[in-house]
Amino acid sequence: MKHKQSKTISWAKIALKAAAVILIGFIVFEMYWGTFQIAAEGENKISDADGINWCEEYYHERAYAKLYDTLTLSGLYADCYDVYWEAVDGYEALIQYNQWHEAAQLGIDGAEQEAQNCYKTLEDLARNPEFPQNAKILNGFLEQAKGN
Amino acid sequence: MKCKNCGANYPMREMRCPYCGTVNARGLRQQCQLERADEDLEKAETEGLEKIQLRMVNRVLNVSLVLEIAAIVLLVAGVIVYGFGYDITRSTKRFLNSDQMNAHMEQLYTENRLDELWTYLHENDLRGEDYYEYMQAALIGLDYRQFKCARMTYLDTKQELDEYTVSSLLDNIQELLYFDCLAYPELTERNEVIWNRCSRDAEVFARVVLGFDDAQIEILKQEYVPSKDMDALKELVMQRGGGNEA
Repeated sequence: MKHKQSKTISWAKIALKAAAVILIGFIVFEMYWGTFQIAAEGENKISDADGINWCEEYYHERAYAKLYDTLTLSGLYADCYDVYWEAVDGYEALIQYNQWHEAAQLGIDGAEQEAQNCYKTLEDLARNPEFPQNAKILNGFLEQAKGN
Repeated sequence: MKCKNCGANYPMREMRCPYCGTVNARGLRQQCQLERADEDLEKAETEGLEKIQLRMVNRVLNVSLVLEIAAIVLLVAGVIVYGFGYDITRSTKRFLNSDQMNAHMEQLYTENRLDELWTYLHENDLRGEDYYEYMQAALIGLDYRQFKCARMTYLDTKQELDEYTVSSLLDNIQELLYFDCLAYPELTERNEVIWNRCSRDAEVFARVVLGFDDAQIEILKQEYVPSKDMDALKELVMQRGGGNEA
């Protein structure tokens, strides 16, 4: 009767195998963690809490260029961002008005009409702000436009 | 057993006679054998225990390896299945809601909400010939948005202009003055209106706010603006803006 010969196992082999198990385990962990993070981020979408935080900061600093950049680059078009969009739209209307008003003074064709359109947009925003906290800001823009 | 010296009787395992102290060779041998047997037994026990421990550790490591490989296979399979599922879901959604989606895109388009149109197209992976007009408008909208942002930044930081702000502003103006859209090169009729409006805004800004003359505007209307000319324009804007180079 033949006896099944058992393989000799040494501590050196075990150590080597243990190292492999640890290394592969680390790789598996990294793969799962990476996949989890990608899934949690959901196509790099930022959470509304983060988006509102960033917008609030720029809104209170009156840094409308940065606010506009954040809103557009991060694709923040949900209802909770409408308050920031209203302020940015007002600022954009003021910039446009100033530009076209100056252009009209230089005699550029159609500039007067464009300036009037921009002024009307600004006036509409300032007279009927959707968000009360924007009233002061939008009226400030309108005053600036009137001053020009 | 009987002592060879004094003749007293004593047990064979004794190494000496308990009465006269004469050495008992057989007893000594027996004792040595017993001790050796004890040692052998102890050694065998230790080795056996070590072997068992090794086997146990080896088995645990083998199971761990198998589990890890299974985890990798599972993850890869999961990602593949999810990818296919995601594509199928998107295609199905596009197929089932095409009317609704087209209506939404048309609404964004006619209301001139081109930023939102871009986000919508991008999120729903809508591109290619079927969405030519919307995609082209969205790309024009992207250029215009970048220009508007650069314009706001320029006006906000006019007193402390840096080279990056000015470069970005001029690049954005140039992109609006020369239509260059590789993927959608032919302007559609409706998009031409949008393009002209955006382009005019950028041109008027360059004339009125930056103070560029016709020749300088013409430089920006070229497909490729020589870096020498672009640097001269940057320098001019920096001087007029009253800022210092960063």
